[in-house]
Amino acid sequence: MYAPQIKSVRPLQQSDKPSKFIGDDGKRIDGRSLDEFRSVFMRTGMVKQAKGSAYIELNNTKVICSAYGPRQTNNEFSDKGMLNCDFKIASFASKQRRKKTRDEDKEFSIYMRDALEISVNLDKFPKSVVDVYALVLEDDGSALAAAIMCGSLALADAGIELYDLVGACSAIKVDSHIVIDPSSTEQKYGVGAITCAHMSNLNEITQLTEAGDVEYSTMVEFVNMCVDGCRKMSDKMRQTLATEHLK
Amino acid sequence: MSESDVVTPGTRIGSVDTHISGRGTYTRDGRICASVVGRVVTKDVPNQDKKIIEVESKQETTVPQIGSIVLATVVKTTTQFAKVDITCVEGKALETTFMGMIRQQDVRATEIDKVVIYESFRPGDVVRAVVISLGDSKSYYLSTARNELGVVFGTSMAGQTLVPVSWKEMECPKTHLRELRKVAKTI
Amino acid sequence: MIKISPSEKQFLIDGIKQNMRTDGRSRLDYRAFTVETGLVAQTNGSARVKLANNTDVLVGVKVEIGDPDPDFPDQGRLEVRVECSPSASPEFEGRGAEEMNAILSAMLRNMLQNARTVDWASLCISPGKQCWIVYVDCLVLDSAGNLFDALSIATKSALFNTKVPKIEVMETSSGQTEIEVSDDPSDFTRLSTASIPISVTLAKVGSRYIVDPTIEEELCMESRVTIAINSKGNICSIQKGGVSSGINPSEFNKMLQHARKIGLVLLKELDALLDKEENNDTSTKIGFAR
Repeated sequence: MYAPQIKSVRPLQQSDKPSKFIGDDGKRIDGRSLDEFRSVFMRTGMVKQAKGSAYIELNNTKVICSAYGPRQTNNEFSDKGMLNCDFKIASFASKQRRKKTRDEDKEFSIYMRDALEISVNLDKFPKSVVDVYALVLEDDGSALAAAIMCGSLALADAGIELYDLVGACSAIKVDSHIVIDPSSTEQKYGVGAITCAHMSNLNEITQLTEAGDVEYSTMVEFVNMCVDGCRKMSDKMRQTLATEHLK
Repeated sequence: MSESDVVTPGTRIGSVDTHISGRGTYTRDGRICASVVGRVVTKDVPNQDKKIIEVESKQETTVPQIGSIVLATVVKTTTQFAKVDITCVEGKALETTFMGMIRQQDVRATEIDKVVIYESFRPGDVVRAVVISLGDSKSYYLSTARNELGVVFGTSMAGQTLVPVSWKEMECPKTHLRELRKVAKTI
Repeated sequence: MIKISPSEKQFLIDGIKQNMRTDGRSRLDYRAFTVETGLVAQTNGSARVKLANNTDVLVGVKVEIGDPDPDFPDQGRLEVRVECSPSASPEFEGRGAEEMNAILSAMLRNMLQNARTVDWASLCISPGKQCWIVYVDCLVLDSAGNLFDALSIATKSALFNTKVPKIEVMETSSGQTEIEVSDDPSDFTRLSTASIPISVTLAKVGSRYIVDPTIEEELCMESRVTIAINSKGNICSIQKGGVSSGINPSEFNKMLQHARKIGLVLLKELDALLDKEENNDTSTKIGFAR
């Protein structure tokens, strides 16, 4: 008779901190090199109801984003359009179930809007608002960066006039090495988490947030590595848009 | 057409010296860059050396602009104005409607102070109008003060589609009763 | 809602280009600020900062015993909340201040929630069970530009002023831990605030950037970068606020450099002020509305 095996559930109090983040061969826990991104998958047009939509996967971080508009707004008259971003992490997205709305959601919505607003030609739709809704289905680190890129793709898919695409990337310092695109374990135990959004053709940083004690010289290196990372992501985004357009 | 023919926002496609920036493009620092995803198309302009460069995309954002001809459905009438729901702009249907308003003085070109809104529009009529102003936060301002603007489709009291008779009258084909509207000259 | 006319905007931008701001400062000059500590008796620590008598913020710190963060069971916890009161500006009424509050709270949280700013391990009472929770509540009383820096200075001062009551942890016979909090007001420990950073806000106006913008200058700025510096010269947090334009990466590095220089000078000034406040504790405090 088949007796189901009972696996013991790992008690939550046990720390999941690995002893070493960077092995002797210079590779990270999941085998990546320091400046290597996880495998990226991007697709547009997933949500049929939305004007434009996009889906992005950075290995285990999954974000879906839809863009609606330009729609009428009831705010006071403005001869420029407005961009409204909403960032939400699903309750089942992280290791521990999250309570409904946390402060982080509101904060990240503002960061996302700051990052994307600069890339949108707001003069083309006065008195109207474009809504971008991002939903993180699974969060294994770099959720904000993924959401910003997803938002940019969704806007391009919706035909909103943009000055440039916004690439985004996160970095953090673990074991005194700077790593790009951290996973959630690296994000939890690292220092100096930085998320950067950058427009590659215009060479402008649209958004940069950093938290953590880092020396000045290391910070400069951080920023440069992030900008390079953003450029790589930007190229991938362009490829995706071109392929999707031909379908 | 291969992947390399498709341009993405931010890609440089020309220079101000050789081309004129058209739809789907923008200019910065003397360079013309694409602002949407699509194919680059150049068109000749008569009497000009430069060509117009445009990017054709699958999706377009249409927003009522000043001077664009719109189709709108009348929602509410008062003595001062008629509130309308703008549904089409320049022949393209919108996903979400915008609010518009046709004021008493914008209904026709002559004798504008003697206009009675109820004798020009009724709720439910489809009206062709032109956008004259971005208006205020709630609605665009429209005008029907031209021969080809006004009611293009209306329903009579009996529920039949009205047939235009003159620039200010429409007739119900069933009851032969005439109703007053500001009619658009469609020919 | 304060609005600015295009001509005034142009006037400010041109002035800044020539290194002359409307209040006479040069681009990288900071306004004089005053700090008062220990104003609110009900808190464990408090501070009030005024930037040139215009921007006015009040920070109160309360410490309470509670559960630690399950991810970090042997450390204390921090809860930051910023509230822009409607009395500071009519646009803060109702939900108008929501966004401002979120951004300001986020900036303070990023700055302080760090193993190296405050010794969080020393705030642990019983690992995994009890720890000190530090509640930092900030109130913006008058907003005349540069809330970020004013709040960071006030928070550092309030934490400097915070007195954590001494406690005794005892194991009772039934195996439970009991905590006895000392009633004596002079029996306290202070938090080590030497590594707490303060923030420096740089606003990009035209092609130049300025430090410590006034409210009119904030309306002209194209983008804002708030950088937190600590006494070692390390960068503790960066936050770039959108508004209307991005920043070139090389310019960004220059901004970091300047912020660092200014931050170090400010920190020295603040430390001197706080020491003076500490030693002048017995001086008569005239009252809140001085």
